[in-house]
Amino acid sequence: MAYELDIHYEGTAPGLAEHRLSLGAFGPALNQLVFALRRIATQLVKNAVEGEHPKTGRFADPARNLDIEIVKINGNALGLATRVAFHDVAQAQPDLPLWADLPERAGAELLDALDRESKGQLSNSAVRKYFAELPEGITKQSYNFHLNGRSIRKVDIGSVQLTTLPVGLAYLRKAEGDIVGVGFDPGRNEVRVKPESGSLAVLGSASEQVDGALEMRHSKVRTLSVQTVKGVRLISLRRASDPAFKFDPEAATKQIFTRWDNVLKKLAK
Amino acid sequence: MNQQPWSHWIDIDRIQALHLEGLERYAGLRSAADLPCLESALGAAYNAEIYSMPEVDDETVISGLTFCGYLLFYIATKQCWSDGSKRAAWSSAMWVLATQGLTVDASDEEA
Repeated sequence: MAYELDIHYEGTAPGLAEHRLSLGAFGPALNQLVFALRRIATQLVKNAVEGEHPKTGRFADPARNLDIEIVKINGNALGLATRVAFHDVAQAQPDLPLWADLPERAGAELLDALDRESKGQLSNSAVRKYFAELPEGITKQSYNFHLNGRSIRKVDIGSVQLTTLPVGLAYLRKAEGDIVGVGFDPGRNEVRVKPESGSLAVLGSASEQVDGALEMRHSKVRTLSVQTVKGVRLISLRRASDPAFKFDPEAATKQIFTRWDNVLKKLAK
Repeated sequence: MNQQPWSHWIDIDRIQALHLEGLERYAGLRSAADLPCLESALGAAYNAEIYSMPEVDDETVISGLTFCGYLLFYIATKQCWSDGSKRAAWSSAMWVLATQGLTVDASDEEA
């Protein structure tokens, strides 16, 4: 019983017209494809045993020798007949229920990720790198994952629309602690908060927020800040004893359609 | 009801309600939503959130900001309805922020 993955490339990339596999052109990408498969397999194992097995990492090790072996190169542009199997079967402990269907589950998930990433839908960063490593000039790709003639998953891809994630996206941070200092004009407006645990947070602030911080300097405070590549900026500063924020759906709907009325009108045109 | 990892911010029912509200207030052609399209937008936005989170194991980090931005982009560009997609995109993004007590600090022109 062998799981097989047929890969087919068409286009003008090096070697395709001659029905040859150029290692220089395709080597890095194929290496990345194996890496993506192993990463999926190890994640599947970790998900299965995490919290129940003390050494999850070692348990997942055999999944890292799942391999894609080229069995044959077919004509008609470039077709690669490959076999998806454990490189070291003994180490993989194939009798364990977890391992028996691991190649099938990992292979099917790999093809799902290929399908999604090719459409620009974020799914698997290793698969995204695989597409990025493929040589230029590939116009069509197809992947057929099958077992003894039974197709498990098939994916046909035309032009690939890769999504690139911008680096350094902003994210929110909360903290609870004491105000230990502020900065203001002519220097930088900032509020310095020492959390109960962790290091001092220096939060860039508006002048009104600095004024508010001075009033709260003897109370425990709760802060919400946004971290960007340029630094940290205070968004909200409240006394820790103030009631926690409670979301009100009705008020939110009213606020959205009142505050953004003009914007929504423009968008409707 | 099937709980998705983004359900505490927004779900398909809420997006459809916001879309309908946008049509009732500002007019437009009513059409049924392409539900797989909306599910795909939500899933893609959530994936972006997961992949963009800083690699720090820190309880002070709050997720949702990237999800909000990507949801705005995906709903606006995927055209899950024949009319009103941009309004639904903006109001959905504002809804996600509102669940965390936040809004956008910008003028109408900047928005």
